[in-house]
Amino acid sequence: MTWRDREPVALIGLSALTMELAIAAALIYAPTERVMGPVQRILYFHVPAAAMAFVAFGVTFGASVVYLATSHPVSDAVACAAAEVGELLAALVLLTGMLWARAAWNTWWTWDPRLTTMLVLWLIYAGYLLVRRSVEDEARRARYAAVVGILGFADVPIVVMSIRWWRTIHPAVFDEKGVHMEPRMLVALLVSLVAFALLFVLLLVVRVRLSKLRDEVESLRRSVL
Amino acid sequence: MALSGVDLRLARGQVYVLLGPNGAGKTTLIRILAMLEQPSAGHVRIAGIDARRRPIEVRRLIGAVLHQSLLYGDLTAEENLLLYARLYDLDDARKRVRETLDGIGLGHRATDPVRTLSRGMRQCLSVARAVLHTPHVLLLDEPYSGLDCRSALYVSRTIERAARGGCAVLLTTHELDRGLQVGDRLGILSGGRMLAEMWAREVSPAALRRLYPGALVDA
Amino acid sequence: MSMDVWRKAWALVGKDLALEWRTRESFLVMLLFGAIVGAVLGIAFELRVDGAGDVAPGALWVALAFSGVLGLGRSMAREQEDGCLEGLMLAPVDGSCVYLAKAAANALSMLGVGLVLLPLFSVLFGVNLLRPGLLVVLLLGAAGLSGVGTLLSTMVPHTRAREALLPVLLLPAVVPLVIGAVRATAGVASGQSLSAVAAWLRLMAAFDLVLGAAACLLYACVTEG
Repeated sequence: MTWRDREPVALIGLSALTMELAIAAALIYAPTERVMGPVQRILYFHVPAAAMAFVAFGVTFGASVVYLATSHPVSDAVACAAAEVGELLAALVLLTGMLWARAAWNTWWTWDPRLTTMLVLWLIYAGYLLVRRSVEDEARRARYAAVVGILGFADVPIVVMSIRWWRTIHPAVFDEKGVHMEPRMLVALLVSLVAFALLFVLLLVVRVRLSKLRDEVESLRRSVL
Repeated sequence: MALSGVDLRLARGQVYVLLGPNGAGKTTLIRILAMLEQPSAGHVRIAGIDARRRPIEVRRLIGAVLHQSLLYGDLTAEENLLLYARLYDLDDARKRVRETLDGIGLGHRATDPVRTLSRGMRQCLSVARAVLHTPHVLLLDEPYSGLDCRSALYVSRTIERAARGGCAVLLTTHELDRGLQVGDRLGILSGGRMLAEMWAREVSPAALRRLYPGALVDA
Repeated sequence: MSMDVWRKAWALVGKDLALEWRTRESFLVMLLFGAIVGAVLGIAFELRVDGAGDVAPGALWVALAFSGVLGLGRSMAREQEDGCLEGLMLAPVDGSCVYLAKAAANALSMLGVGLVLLPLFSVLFGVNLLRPGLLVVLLLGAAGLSGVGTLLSTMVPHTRAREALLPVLLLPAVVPLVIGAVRATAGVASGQSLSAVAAWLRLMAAFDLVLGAAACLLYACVTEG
């Protein structure tokens, strides 16, 4: 058994701890925003989740490239895990975005550039996961998924750009040139970002471990039958 | 079907017949040799060239007949062959295609869509397609299945001619008699492993039948 | 690329055009479907939208994308029918050459459909879409749809979901292209010059180039095995 085969206890602990910290920072430490009120606190989860969703899709892209170059099954498992976690985070972004939109603009959905971008990415990677479910043969599944993972990520900058141009009339939620925030808000945001990063790594590790275990069970079953 | 430990050597001018029941891995082997599938381990070398390193060069040396005809049903016999002639960079494509079609007795139906041809004719055309570029290695997966006598005769003649021209031929079949008749060397594949290899002239049909695995022997 | 790659690609394009010309089946289906989408959208919007002309560019591109999905599926089905695509893979031709030829042939039939839909949509939605500038938009749009779609359509027959997977993967991926196309079409249709919509054309061209190049490189990964 290598370290990778064991339950990542330390990481779970660390991740749980920082997440508690992030919640405390977001809900207690950070001051209430004047215009928006308490609803603004959703930002401390919305923004880190969005950032990590992009990171996750980037990891899927990188792992897909590695898979096509090496055919190593672990890179496929990483690509899959990152896409699943990315979808989860993107869904979180969409949900928190909708809650915010309800409070801020009195509508559940708005074609805000960021929200729209996230929706399109969510759809693209939903397709990625669907391809994974839809191919029986392992090598082929990994290959096809890698192709979609790479193509999808090549699309990301164009999606971001196109939607930003498309919606230029809409008010940008944040200033384009940087975040002008109260220092304590920034601290809360950064803590939350760290917490989400750790959560992402944790979920990734757990998920990769799960697929390794599944493969092992599968090969054991095959050798018995 | 997974293959393991199969070491197959084809010699120029030799017809190698791969026998084996359904699911023995014959098709997989052919597909790997035709570079349609990548083996998870092991390699294919043709005329000393590693197939994975220089695929285009190796493809030029291979001709293959698979289960499916590889012909466009809505194109004519001539158009199908012309397309392949161009893909293989053949000189005098038109003339060569004409001669080939006359050779299989399809000269008068050259401009009919392949869809309208009989199964036997289509198989002949499929074989003609595979040898159009005079390959160094000819792979045929069950070329005789469902053929009438005349088409089967054409297939046998093409194999013979290719071998005489120095081509290495590998064909699969589950018909033992046919294998003995056309093959120089026989190999029996079962469960992804090579059970036995022998020279056709040194084995009697009865002996071959005894070697053949299981009750899957076709009449 | 050397001369003979182009010669082979041309032979492959010629083959697709000959097949299409012989039966005309997929072109007619695409055309009819495009018209149906236009009619359905027209009916659906009729009572709710004041200026039907405003939705014409959007309707046109939805119709083109949908009929494109249909055409891509048909073209690949023809390629798979008697193992023809494998026949092409047996030949000493680069995967990228096969990709370029298939993509060009698919783009041509989409372009053909687009040319017929322009006058039709002009009538249905009461706008003037018969402007030469739209040829450029159509060309860039067809190239992008076909560039991504050709890769995906080669993949989906080997999945359990089959053709149903194609729109699910293709449509989210082409969102930026459709945004650019709709904007450019709307601009040109309202009498603007091509240079006035150059930003959108550039966006479409960027999509075509980036995703086309990615698809071209990835094509070999979906054809083997």
